[in-house]
Amino acid sequence: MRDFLSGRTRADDFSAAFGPSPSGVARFSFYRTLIQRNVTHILNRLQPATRWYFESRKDNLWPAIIAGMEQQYPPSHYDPNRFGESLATYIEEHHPDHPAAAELADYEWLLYAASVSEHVPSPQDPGLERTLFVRQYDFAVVDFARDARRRLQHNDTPSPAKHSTDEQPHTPEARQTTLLVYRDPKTGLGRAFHPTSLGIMAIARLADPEASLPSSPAALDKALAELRAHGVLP
Amino acid sequence: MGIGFRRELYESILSTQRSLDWLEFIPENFIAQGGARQQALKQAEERFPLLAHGVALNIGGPDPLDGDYLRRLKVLLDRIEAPFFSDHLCYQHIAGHYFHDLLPLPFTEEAVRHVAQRVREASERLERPIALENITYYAEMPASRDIEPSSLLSEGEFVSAVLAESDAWLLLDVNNAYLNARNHKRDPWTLMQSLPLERSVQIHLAGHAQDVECDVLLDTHGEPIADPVWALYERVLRQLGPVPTLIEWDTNIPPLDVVLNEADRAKLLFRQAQDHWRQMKVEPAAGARTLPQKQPGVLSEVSPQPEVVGVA
Repeated sequence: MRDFLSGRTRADDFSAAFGPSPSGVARFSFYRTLIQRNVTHILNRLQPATRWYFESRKDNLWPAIIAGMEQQYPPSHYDPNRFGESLATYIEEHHPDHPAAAELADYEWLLYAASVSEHVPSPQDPGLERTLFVRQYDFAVVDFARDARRRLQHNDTPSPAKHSTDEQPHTPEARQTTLLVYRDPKTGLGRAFHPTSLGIMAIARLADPEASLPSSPAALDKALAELRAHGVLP
Repeated sequence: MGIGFRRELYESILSTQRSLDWLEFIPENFIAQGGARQQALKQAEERFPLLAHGVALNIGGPDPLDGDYLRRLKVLLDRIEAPFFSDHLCYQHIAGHYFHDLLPLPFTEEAVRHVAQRVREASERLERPIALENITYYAEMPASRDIEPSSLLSEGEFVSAVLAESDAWLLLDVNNAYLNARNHKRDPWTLMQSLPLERSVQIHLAGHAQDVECDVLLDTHGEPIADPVWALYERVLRQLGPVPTLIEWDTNIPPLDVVLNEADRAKLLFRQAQDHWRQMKVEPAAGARTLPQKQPGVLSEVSPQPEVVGVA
């Protein structure tokens, strides 16, 4: 049954092997349709900017990516959103010519992960935890994601059918970015923060107080205070 | 009357001044999770009695019950003082592959024994009774070729047998019963009568829609409750007496007032059933379980469904 429900076996092949549904093949096949809809819905909701990226292109790889994800990294947790955890990896493996999309997928996953992770750092237990992630991206994913989500909220969907040679597909700007993705303590939601190099060093010092860093303790303290003021650190 | 505690309605539910007796939430959205959702649930706890309605117990599945999930679920259920836990009479994953849907079981004696044993185990581990919901099924599942077709049970026989053998309660989904009748060309009331109604601890009402690809009415939880479902609900209440009722609206969620209008309509029918039974001066057939009273004003005679949340 698992092979049928996951699309590896067709309904009539399953029925031939194990016995038919009294309701007929068409009705039995509908369950595969329902599961396909489920996995599509999950990734559409969880990673809308990544979806936007692919759907704005003539070849629109998004349906194939969802199908491939389902086979290679099927949902394996009672939280359906965990299905998106491996999307960045999948894109890197199968579509290495879309590095911006892989970074988008990673960023959108981190927004979710930071927002729901159990552990909340405290003054007694500060430092890097599952509510704070550090990334160095090659593309301006934050701006692109914000724009894509805003457009989707206004029901503006990408239309590869209307794509013309005059219109460029939507792509994040190539720009090296260091990013902190963290849980905003006020809203409980995931947010992005662009730290300074001092801020990164301040975080590194939290993780390893003995680390030798090319900056004065006073400057690092100031950077740390800024991170706390923004809610990035407790 | 209760409604579902859904992300789109957190803010309006927590600030509403309209009458609302209790909330039902999907525990898989909160187990092992922090952040905004936990904050909202804690705020909801302070104001309303809460019930948990799961979608991942996998009571009919082949995998062993998930011990980690049950442990975390019990912590949550203990915290909200849940008098029982409900999930669906179905399976949801095989060999660790979660389908995030409610998949029907074959209506066989073997499946009855399998589910009943798992219900007893889950109930023991959660230290509270279990209620199982009758699900919508769009196709009857194939049974083993070794099983005589004549030995297959009907839906009502199957549900009744599972609950009798496990001593579980019924979470009666009136919309699901209606859809199963329509989708499989049966009379809705006849189908309803075949279910173990006397075990009902709660009723669910929800909307449905015609599917665009397959010739079925789909359990969408995304529309107003249809008139035939209201009629079926009214008839069930006349038979059973007042049973706590939940309005399920999980997709295409409208403003809270629209959902509460449905709850008010259900409450009217609930009170009519109450009056009817009081006049008869007879104890109701079902529904005699009490939710914990969290604050004055909660309707004390109120007796005893993964959201995909996605974008943060």
